Amino acid sequence: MNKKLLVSIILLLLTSTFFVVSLFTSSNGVNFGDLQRVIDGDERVLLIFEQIRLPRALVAFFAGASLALSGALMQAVLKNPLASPFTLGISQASAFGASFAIIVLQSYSSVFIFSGSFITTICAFGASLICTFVILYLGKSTQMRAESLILAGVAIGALFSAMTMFLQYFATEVDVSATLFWTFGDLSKADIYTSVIIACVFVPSLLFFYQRFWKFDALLLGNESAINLGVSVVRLRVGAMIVASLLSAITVSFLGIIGFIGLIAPHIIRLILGSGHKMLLPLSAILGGGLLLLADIISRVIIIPLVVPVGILTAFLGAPLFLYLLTRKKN
Amino acid sequence: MKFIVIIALLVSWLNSSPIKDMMNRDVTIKDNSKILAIGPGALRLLSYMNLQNNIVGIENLELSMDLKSPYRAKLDETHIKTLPIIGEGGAGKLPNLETIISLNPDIIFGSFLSLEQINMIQNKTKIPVVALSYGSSYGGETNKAKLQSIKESLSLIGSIMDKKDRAKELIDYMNDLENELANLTKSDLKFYIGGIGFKGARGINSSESHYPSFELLGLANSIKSPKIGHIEISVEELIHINPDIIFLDLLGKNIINDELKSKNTLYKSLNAFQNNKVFWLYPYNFYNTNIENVYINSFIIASKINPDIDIIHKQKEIYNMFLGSNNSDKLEKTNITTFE
Repeated sequence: MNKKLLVSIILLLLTSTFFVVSLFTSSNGVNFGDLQRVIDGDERVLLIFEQIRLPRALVAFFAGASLALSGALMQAVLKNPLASPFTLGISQASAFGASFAIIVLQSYSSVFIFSGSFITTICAFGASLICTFVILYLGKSTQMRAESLILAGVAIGALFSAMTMFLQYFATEVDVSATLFWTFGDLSKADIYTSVIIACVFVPSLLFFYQRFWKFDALLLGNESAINLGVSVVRLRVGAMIVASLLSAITVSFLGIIGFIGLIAPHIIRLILGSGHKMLLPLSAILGGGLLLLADIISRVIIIPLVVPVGILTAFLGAPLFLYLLTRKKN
Repeated sequence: MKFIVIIALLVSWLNSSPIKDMMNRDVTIKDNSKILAIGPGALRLLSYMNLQNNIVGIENLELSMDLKSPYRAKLDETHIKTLPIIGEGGAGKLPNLETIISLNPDIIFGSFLSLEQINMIQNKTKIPVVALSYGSSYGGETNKAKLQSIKESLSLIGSIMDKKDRAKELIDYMNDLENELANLTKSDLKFYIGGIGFKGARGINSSESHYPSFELLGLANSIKSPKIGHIEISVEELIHINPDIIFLDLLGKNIINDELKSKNTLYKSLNAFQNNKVFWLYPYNFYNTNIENVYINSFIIASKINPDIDIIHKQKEIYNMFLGSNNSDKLEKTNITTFE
C-alpha cells in the first residue's frame, strides 16, 4: 500500500513539475525569468502564456493522459500488452477520417453549420470505430494470438495510411499541407478549447472505468472466471474499446498521430506496481500526461530555435521501447 | 474636448479600416513598419516590392541563400543571418508562434497557407495576417491565373505598405513585357514543358498546364487540362503527344539526366530529341514561382523560334527591374540555352 502511495505521489510531483517547466520553456530553452515578466505585466509575455504555452501544456497533459488511458483499456480488454491506439492502427484510421473530412467534405469551408473541427472529429471517430470493430472481430472470432493481433493492427494501419495518401494525391496543395500535420503530431495548433474538449471526454471516461476497475482485474483471471464473478465480458470489451477509440480519435483529430504514449505509459506502471487496474488506470493516465509534457519540452529545445513536431519525438522514444518489450516477451 | 476625442477616434478608425486580402478575408492593419513573411513565396513578393529590409524575422530555409530563387540575391546576407528564426519554412509547416509574438511585427504576410492556418496564426498571435496568392494550385484560388494573382498581390502589398508607386512600376512593367511577348512570335509547333519543380525537383513528366510562358507567347501547350497548375503526366502520354519542342526546367536536371539514361531509347524516339529541339529553362518553381524567370523563360522560348531576340540584354533588364541593378550581377550567367 505504501509503495502505491509513494509511486502515486512521485508521479503527481513529476507531472506537475513537467507542467510548470513546460510553461517556462520557449524555443530558446527553459527560462524561469519569464515569471518576473508576467508579474510585471509584460503584455507580449502574457499573450504568449495565454495563447501558446498554457494551451500547449494543458493539451499535452490531457492528450497524453487520454492516449495512455486508451492504451490501458485496450491492453486490458484485449489481454494484449502490445495493444495501443497506434499499434492497432486506430490512430492511423482516425487520421484517415480527419483527412477525409478536410479533403472530401471540405470541413473547414463555411458550408457546414457546425464548426469544422466538429465534423473532423466525428469523421475521425467514425473511422477509428470501423478499425476497432475489425480488431474486436479478429480478436474474438478467429481466436487470434496476441502477436497476430498486433500484426493485424500493422496491416490495418498500413491500409488506412494508404487511404490517407490516396486522398492526398487528389487533394489541392493547400489541403495536403494542412493534412501533413496529422502525420507529424503537432501541439502548436492547440488552443484552450481543444484542451477543454479533450478533458471533457477524458475525465468522465477515467471516472467511469475507475469505478469498474475490478472487472478488468476479473478479466485477467480468464473469461470464464470473469463471467462467474458477474462481469458481462462482451459488454465490457465492446464498451471499453469504443471509449478507447473515442479517446484516441479526439486527440488525433485535433493534434495528429502521437504514437507510443498509449503503449509505454501502462507498461511502466505495470512494471512498477503490477497489473491491478485500480492503480493502473489512473496512474497510466497521469504518467501518459507527464510523458507527453516531457516529450513536448524536449521537442522545443532539441533543435534551437526550431520546434520539432512532438509526434516525431514520441516515435523516437517509443519505438526502441516497443522493440525492447517485444524481445523481452519472447525471452 | 469631446469633439477632439471623436475626431481622433474617427481618424484612427479610418486609418485602421479593414482591407480585403487575397483569400477575401477582412484584415485590419494599424501600423506597417515591422513585417514578417511566412510560407513559400511570401518573401519573394515583399522583396520585389523592396521591402526585404523591413522584415524582423526569417524562415530557416531562406538562409540557404540558394539562388534558384533569384529574389534571394536581393537579401542582405549579413543582415538576415542576424534575424531571429521564425520557423523552418515550407508548405504546411507552422511557424514558431511564440517567436512571432515576441517579435511583435505589425503585419504578417502569408503565402501557400490554408485558410485555417492563417486564421489560427492570427487568432493566437493577435497580429494581422495578410494572405498573398500565386494563383491556382500554388495556394491561391482554384483556376485563378498565376500572373493575375501576382499582380493583385503586389498591388495589395503596395497599398498596405504605402508603396503604391513601386507596385504600379512593377505591374506596368509586367504588362509591357506581356504586350511585347504577345506579338513576338508565331508557331504551330507542339510545345512541352517538363521537369517543373513542385515541392522539390522532379523529372520530365512533371509539367504545368497553362504554363505562363507558353500562354504569354500564344503558343500551344501540348498538355491540356481544365485545371490550371502543376500536373504529372505518364511517360506513355508524352510518347503519344510526341512534342516538336521540349523545354526542361533546370531544377530537375539531375533527375532528368538519370531518366534520359535509363529510358534512353524511349525518349530519343521523340521528335524533339531527334531534331535537337530540347532546351533548358530557368527554374520555374523554387519556394513558389520565380516570377522574373517566367518572363525570362518566355524570351528564351521565343528565341528558339526567332533567333534574333537578344536574350542576354532582356534577362538583365528583367533582373534589374525585379531585383535591382546591383543584384542582377550576383545571378549566375550560365549559358543554359544548349542541351547536351
